[in-house]
Amino acid sequence: MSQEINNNTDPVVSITNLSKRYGNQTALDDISFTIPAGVVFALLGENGAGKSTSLKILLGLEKADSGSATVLGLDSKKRGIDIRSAVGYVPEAPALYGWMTVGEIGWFTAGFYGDGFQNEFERLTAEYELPLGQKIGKLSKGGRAKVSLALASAHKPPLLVMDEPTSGLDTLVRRKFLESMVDVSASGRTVLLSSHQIPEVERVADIVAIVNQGKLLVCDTLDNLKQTMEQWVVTLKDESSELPSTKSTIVLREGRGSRRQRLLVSDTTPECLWQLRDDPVVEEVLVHTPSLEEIFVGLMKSGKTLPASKRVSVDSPEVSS
Amino acid sequence: MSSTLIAHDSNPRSNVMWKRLLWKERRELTPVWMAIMLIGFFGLVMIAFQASSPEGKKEIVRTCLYSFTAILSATLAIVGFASESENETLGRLQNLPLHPRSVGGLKLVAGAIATLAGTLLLALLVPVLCSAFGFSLNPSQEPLPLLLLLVGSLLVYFIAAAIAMAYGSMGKSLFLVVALFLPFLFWLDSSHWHITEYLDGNFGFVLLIQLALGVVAGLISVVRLVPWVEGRGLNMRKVLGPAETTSSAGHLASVSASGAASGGAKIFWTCFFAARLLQVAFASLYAS
Repeated sequence: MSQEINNNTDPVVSITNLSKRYGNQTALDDISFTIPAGVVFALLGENGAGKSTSLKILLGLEKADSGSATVLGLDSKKRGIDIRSAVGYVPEAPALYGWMTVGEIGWFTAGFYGDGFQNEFERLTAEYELPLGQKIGKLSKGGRAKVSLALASAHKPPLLVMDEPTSGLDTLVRRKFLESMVDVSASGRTVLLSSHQIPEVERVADIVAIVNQGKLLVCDTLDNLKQTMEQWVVTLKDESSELPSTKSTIVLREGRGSRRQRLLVSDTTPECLWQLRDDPVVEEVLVHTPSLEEIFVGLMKSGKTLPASKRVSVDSPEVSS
Repeated sequence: MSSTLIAHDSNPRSNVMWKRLLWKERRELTPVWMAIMLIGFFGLVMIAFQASSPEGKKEIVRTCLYSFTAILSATLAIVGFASESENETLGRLQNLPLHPRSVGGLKLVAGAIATLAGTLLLALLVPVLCSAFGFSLNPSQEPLPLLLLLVGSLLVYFIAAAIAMAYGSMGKSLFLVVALFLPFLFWLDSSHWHITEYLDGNFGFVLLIQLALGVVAGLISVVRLVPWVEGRGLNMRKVLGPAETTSSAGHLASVSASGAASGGAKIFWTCFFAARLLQVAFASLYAS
């Protein structure tokens, strides 16, 4: 079986105006983004935000109501089997056959992929210190997650799709898992990661997309997001004073009615900050670079969708691989 | 996209795929199959020796032989479909580069083969053992012949599989499926599949309606269930699968489950009517 070959300049994943409803529930609402090759792309959102639905549509496991999605240049509506053949997928709760041994599940899955699968699977299991003769039912949760990762990676897919891969894992295993993602990305392959574990995503992601109730709030490189957003901690001279308005886009304001208020601002300018600092009711303004978690919370609480300029383009110079 | 080369030809590894899937089915079904066969075999012999007269022995062994084959069929179907749905391992199969309809089709075929093999073995071994202990029980000379027994157990298998698919995908509970199947099994047992009615040539208006419905439903089920009809018909993923893996996404999970129920119900009724069609057709052939 020959693999799909994708030109490096083309997006690995392209989603255009994708919408999906389940009865009265909107799972995805007109979502568009692209993922360039060789990056770790994190899809963030709370439970039920539409992350898993997006991944399933990409893999051809679900059909979108409208819009289109391509993976490695293949239409996910029509070429689901080819897509699943080419990409590696780690589901949220890897349901593995408990009665099989590690070696048996590798052998079983190898039947669906190319000839090198079995050798690579054995190499990976050795690397993860998984004995081939061990029954999967006897493995720890971390052990099963490693088996799932080995199964998804053994055919060396150009795209590795992971749905909440570290959910329920202990810290050490999580750390190892994340390191493996960086390794995959470093080898020129792409990782599409869905998660709501924000701090760990921050350590590995190149590009972040945040979805809420099916809507895409932002999609940008992590560096860009941090550069264009600031957290201002404003101390007022008097509790009764009103915080002066600024020309910045305020994503989130916390601590209203108290002397100290926290603002998450976007697209600000130094002039805005100076203007605020010079205001007679303001005692002090401290400026921090927000963490991804603070950006996430701000966007989720405000529900604001950032402008389309925050949607990364594949030839964006900021994208590091 | 011009730069993308699509060279994943249709099935260079299909033989290997099928072999691996059949290996998995065999490994899953064999322990259940063995257990029921042993219970059935020794159970039938024990029951036969409890009966007082030779005629009583024949009658009770014949009835119990039918019951055990029905239990075998139903259990294999439930293990094949509902337990895998409950354990969410069907999701693993669906993530493989394989059409979900093929997964369903292969499971049906594997279970049907196991059902036929079990029924045949029981039907052949029990009379041999009975004759060794001094009384005759030859299914081919009995009112319920061997071929009818095989067809009957196959019908029970398909009906149970349809129920397991429908309820397994709805509730994902093996216990629920078993509980729902039991009344159906008792009904089958009590009526002896209504075969005697057909054998007596008692074809009324209701039976003709059933026959007509069976023809239509049988055709639909063939088009929808047969694995080699690609890209058409019912989406087996909805019927078989745990559609939403995000455990905490309650609203999505519930919506997906209702979608599955709809598909499962369709499969159930088409299988049921197809089974009735085969039953009527076979019984009428036998009667003639």
